[in-house]
Amino acid sequence: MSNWFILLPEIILAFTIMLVLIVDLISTSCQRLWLGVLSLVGILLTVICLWIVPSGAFGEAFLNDGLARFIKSIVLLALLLVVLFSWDFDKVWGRPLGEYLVLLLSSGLGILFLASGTEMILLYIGLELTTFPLVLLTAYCPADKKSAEGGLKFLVLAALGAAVLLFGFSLIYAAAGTTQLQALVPALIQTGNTPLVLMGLLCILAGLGFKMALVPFHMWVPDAYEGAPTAITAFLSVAGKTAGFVLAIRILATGFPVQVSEWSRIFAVLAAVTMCLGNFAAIPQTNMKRLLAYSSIAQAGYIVMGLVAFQVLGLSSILYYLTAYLFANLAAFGVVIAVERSSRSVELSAYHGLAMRSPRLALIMLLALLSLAGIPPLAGFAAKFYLFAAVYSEGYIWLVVLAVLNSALSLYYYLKVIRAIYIQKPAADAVQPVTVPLALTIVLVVTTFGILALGVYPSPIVDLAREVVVLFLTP
Amino acid sequence: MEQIGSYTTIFIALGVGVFCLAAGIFVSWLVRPMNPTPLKMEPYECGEPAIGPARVKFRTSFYLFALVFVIFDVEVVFLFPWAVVFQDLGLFAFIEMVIFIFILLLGLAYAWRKGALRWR
Repeated sequence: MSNWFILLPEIILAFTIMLVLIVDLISTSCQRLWLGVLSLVGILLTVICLWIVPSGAFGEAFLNDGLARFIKSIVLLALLLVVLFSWDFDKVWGRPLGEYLVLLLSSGLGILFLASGTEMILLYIGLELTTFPLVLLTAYCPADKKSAEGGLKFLVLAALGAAVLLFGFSLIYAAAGTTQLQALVPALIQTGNTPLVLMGLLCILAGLGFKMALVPFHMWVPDAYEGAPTAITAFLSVAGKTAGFVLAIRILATGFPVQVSEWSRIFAVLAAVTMCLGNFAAIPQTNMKRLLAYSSIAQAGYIVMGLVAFQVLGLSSILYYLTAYLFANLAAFGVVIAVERSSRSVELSAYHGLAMRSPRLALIMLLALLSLAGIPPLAGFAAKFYLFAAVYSEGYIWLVVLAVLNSALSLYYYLKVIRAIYIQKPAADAVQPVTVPLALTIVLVVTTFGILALGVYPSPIVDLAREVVVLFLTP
Repeated sequence: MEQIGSYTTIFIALGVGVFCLAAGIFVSWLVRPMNPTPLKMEPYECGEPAIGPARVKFRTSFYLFALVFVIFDVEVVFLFPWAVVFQDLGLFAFIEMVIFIFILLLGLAYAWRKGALRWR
């Protein structure tokens, strides 16, 4: 019998999901506090368990190694913060909280499987488990037409992306005769780069592109991000993206290290196009959720550069970048949620004069946006520095130049928001300070601390990421 | 060579079958009297004449029932191979399957409680 102990974090999370569902079934509406508490306790137990459980493989399909542990910690942290974001979701949005939490946790469970899967079928199931709850959550407020529209677009394009990915898997299986990623390497060396293998690889790259929201496959992002409830937008932008990148690292590093020159060139082009289009499209946006959506597309463009520089430095800077991005993006979305609660608006005009109304919220938004733009001494700067250094050392100098120019460009629209907050006068009817509930305050404090700590003292996370990647890359 | 031979038999049988069918249709076309009337062009020579288009609207409630049905459809798909090898797997597989069915039942209980089985 295989070692069940390795699956313990996933089992605990699955158990939590069922428990939340049962409590939601039997409880009356006034006991809804328990749902949130249960979810939080479940996630915390999963995190603790994650670091207790030994490394090792469960059969040939599931591997709990350092990389998986790192990614799972990021995702569970995002999950924790998003549950806190949605603490009184049912009051604000008027939709049931129990199903919401169950779907959210299911999606998180899917990402845990993505982070550990070493077998294409398991990875595909993990991907479906991640995506479909997110689709449902995007369309969670059907009375809101935008939510329904975003959900439908997300559903169609996610299904298309999954189909392309699955087709790629099937072609690779036809060529290599195995779905196990480690076993692919010798099999593919034997077959060589036949058209069948290259076509399969291309389909897999396209499917991954949908998941990471790279440019030719990014169409669903702005609409889904705008339509989804804001807490879900935050989860999509952080955990959804993390899921895409970990899937790419797992598949490409474990299954296709031999074809590195083929796919790294494709990723170089995709990275360049993605960051340019994301940044240019973000400039005219006046809706904060759309602006952050395009900004997240541009960020995905930067992160993909780490896949181009496919070495220890490149991969470890992806991990570090994802951590920094988590804190900065969740802080920005936290402020968006706080403003949305008080003014029912996500337009830029709702932020006019925020500095006068709630100086602390304004400061957090300032830090978050500057971190996303990559200004020292914040987390985003250190992340971009490591990433660009990695790409530079691999010889892609044109890409680094383009990325630096793009960072400068992105500063324009981040500063546009900051200008609205600090310089413009508030509207006459909006002079009250924005009230922030306790759960949201906790998130804002944690994320702000993260932005500052990672920026000032990055070495613990950098060292951890490097150690993890070295172990991952040495077979 | 032997395998190819057995396939040849299948193909010959297939060819003979198709030929018999085609020949039957052809011969009946050859010898039948040609006398078309409008009545013969009706979809059914006997029974009710068709009223309205074939595309009718279904209640969306069917959708919820179908979803709940799918849960148990899938359950049976998993139960069948499990039952076949049950003797070899022992207690562990039994517990696994109990957990699996419990999760499915939870889904049914949830759908029931939330009113998915009520006809509206």
